[in-house]
Amino acid sequence: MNLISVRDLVVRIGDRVIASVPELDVAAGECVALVGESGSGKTTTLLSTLGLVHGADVRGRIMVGDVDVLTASPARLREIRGSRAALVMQSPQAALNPTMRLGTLMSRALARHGVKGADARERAEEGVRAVLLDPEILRRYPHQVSGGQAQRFAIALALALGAQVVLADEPTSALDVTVQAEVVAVLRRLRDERGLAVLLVSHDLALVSTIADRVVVMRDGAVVESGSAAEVFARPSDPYTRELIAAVPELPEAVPAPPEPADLHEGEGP
Amino acid sequence: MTLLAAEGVTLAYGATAVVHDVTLAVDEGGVGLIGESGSGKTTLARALLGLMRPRSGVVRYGAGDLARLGRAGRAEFRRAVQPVFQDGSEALDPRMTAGASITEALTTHHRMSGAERRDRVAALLADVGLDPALAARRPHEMSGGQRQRVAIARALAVEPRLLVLDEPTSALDVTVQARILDLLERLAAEHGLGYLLITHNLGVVGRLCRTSSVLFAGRVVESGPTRELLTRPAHPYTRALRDAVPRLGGEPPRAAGRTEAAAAATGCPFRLRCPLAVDRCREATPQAREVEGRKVACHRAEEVLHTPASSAPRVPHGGETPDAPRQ
Amino acid sequence: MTAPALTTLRRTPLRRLAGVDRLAVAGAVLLGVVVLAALLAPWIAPYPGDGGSATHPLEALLPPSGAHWFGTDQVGRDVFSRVLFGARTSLLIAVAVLAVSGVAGVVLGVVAGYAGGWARDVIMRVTDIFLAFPALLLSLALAVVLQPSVTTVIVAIAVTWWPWYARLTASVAASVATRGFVDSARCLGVPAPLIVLRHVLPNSLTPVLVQLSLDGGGVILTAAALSYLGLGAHEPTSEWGLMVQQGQSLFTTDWWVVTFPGLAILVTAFSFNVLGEGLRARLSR
Repeated sequence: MNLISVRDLVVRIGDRVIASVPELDVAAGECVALVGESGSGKTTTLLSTLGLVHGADVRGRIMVGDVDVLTASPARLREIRGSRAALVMQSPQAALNPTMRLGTLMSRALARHGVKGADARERAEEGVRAVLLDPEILRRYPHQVSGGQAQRFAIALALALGAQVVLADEPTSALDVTVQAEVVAVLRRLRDERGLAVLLVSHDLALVSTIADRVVVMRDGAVVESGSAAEVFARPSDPYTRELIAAVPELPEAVPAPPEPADLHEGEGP
Repeated sequence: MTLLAAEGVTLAYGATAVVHDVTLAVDEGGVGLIGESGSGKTTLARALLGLMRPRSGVVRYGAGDLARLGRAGRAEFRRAVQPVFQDGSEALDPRMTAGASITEALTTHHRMSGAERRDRVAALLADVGLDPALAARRPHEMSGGQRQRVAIARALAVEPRLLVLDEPTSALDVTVQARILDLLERLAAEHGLGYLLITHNLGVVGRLCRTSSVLFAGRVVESGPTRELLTRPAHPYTRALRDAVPRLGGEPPRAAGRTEAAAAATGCPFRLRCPLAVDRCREATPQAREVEGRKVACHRAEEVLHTPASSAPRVPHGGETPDAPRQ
Repeated sequence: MTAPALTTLRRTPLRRLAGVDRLAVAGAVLLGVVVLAALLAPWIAPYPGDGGSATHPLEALLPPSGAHWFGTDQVGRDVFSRVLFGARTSLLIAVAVLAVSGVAGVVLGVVAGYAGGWARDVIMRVTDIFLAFPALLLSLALAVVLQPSVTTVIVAIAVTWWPWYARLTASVAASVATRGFVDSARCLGVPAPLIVLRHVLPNSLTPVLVQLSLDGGGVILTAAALSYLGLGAHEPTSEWGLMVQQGQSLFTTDWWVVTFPGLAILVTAFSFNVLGEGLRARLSR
């Protein structure tokens, strides 16, 4: 089932087309990546799906679940943004009210959706655990958490509210690689275990290749190539895609070492 | 020959030391300094650029102590060592045109006629792959890649011997990053420049640096030939960094859990994040020692070296939580 | 106003303002009218002599009419002419105070902000001492000690005004000093005074310029207050505050004597304020 479905999207500012996407679907349990550089229209496309593009002329048909974003009432749009879709931005700390503990933030958001008391506490802790954070974090203020934690908390907040869609705009480009790996692990897990639809915007092809099922490459507002991630990375048809792939710095493969001390295997995953 | 070196350098802001007893030499050719945000790498760069005085230890330029250089020695140091910062829009005065910024560098140490200046500015812009007509633009009228090229041209204007590159590409789009790295590689070869490349991106050092040091919480935990560090890391932190780098079509990056854990105040600073930590790591701070061609500060370096990468622990699944409380 | 001054104005803040903030543009236009009135007073005033010591006892306290738009005062002088000449005094005071305190504040502030350390401590402590006195009281005290005159007013106000600019500039300059381009200049070996002049000063000026334009109104009000209290301009100088003081007892019978200079103060202070607010809104974006 497609949780996000975009048809014939054209976003214009004046006479200039800043994004044009004929077709974009994201199904439950799927991650689709919009890839491109600054000015390619990828962020505009992502923001259009929540009706968040202002000062531009947006045409086409955008469905999030069963809601037509372009014709929906403001109340309906607020509901989508609030509880159906989680928007994860580059710097989530800026979006968190600095005077409130994360737990307070979470319980207020839940209360707005009619979830209160012990029920709310349970939902909050469950959401936080789902993104691999300690519920203890609910007692902290936004300035007391790191960028990666704030990023994951933003996802947890949406999860607690019942989001089925995660829209992530360069969620890790401000983070260190080790922290980035954690956020990606969380996104993968939510997709695989909870069947979330993930729309990811990124300019980092290597990162995209590790999580996306399908890839849409954009340049100067237009889609230049799209297809399954495996297909696009193995046989890029557009020269620009090839340039993006070539730009990924290569890391020499790890040399396989002779397996020696057995006691190091204790941390092995399933 | 070593041009610039940190010898046992400790750096502090007020009472908080952020770099502890670091020794690092930059010779002709490229040297990498790998670290994440908060590792102290930018602070170390500031000390190497003479923008900050060490609390203890010495920054050596040639044979002399940077802090004790006379007027002439200091002027020579300023000509010889130039920085390229992360963000060209930050490193260029927003009110100055590209031409004015480069001219400032040209005329700081030499007198020049107007015609000579214009020629040099045009030549420098061409050298970094820009149209000389860009000289009339201000930073906000240029793209990120163009700004970074102007910043590089400005650094080259004084004909330095060594560049300190502090995350020179991390604010740029990937294809632009690749072009800037190409440019730096070519310029270094053409001008015989040494450079210290500071970055959190292992792919970048892998490409540009023969030797590298890995900085964790202000301490060098591993240093040696870059290729060795990347293919056979001996420190668990180097390995975590390496495994976290997403690779095209590769395995999903390995999340090395507990990234929020603070550096430990006693024993090994990495032990709160280390999947291999044992009692010894709490009791004794590992000293840097020679292990198979590199220097590493880990009690269990030999074991790390001889463990297949695939057996490194992944981020724990389920409800167990990887976070340790912050202090 | 000279041609070069006009072009700079057009090129920088005013042109950027156009179409953005109508109120600010209105402020700029009003202020322009006041400036023109001040510059052209000798030529456009219907009774130029009335700006000074002329007296026409037979025409005292005439209400506004075609011959005297704003009426006449106790000694028969044309109030409209005196308001025009008063603009000269008020603007002279405003410009002089802002120039003196602005330059002093900016120079000290930039030095404090860039140098840091003991230089900043010394400058900022002195600034704090000045800021610890209520400004109007300090001005009053100074004006009492010195002879009442326009110069006295300028000195008395400037002394209490500069610390604000010093403090503002110091904080802006301190943050500019940490920017990459300042480090970059230091790494080139550019001498510190040149770094301050070339990089720190130009990049620290915007907020101070906004503050200066916001403060123009305050200076004019303070100057009017000092003159009103008899500590500033004195007869026969045309000064709005002085005119208000002299006319206040007549308010119920001959309202025009006090109302028009009062309005002039209000309009000028108001235009400075909206212009400053507009600049701030525009430049802080």
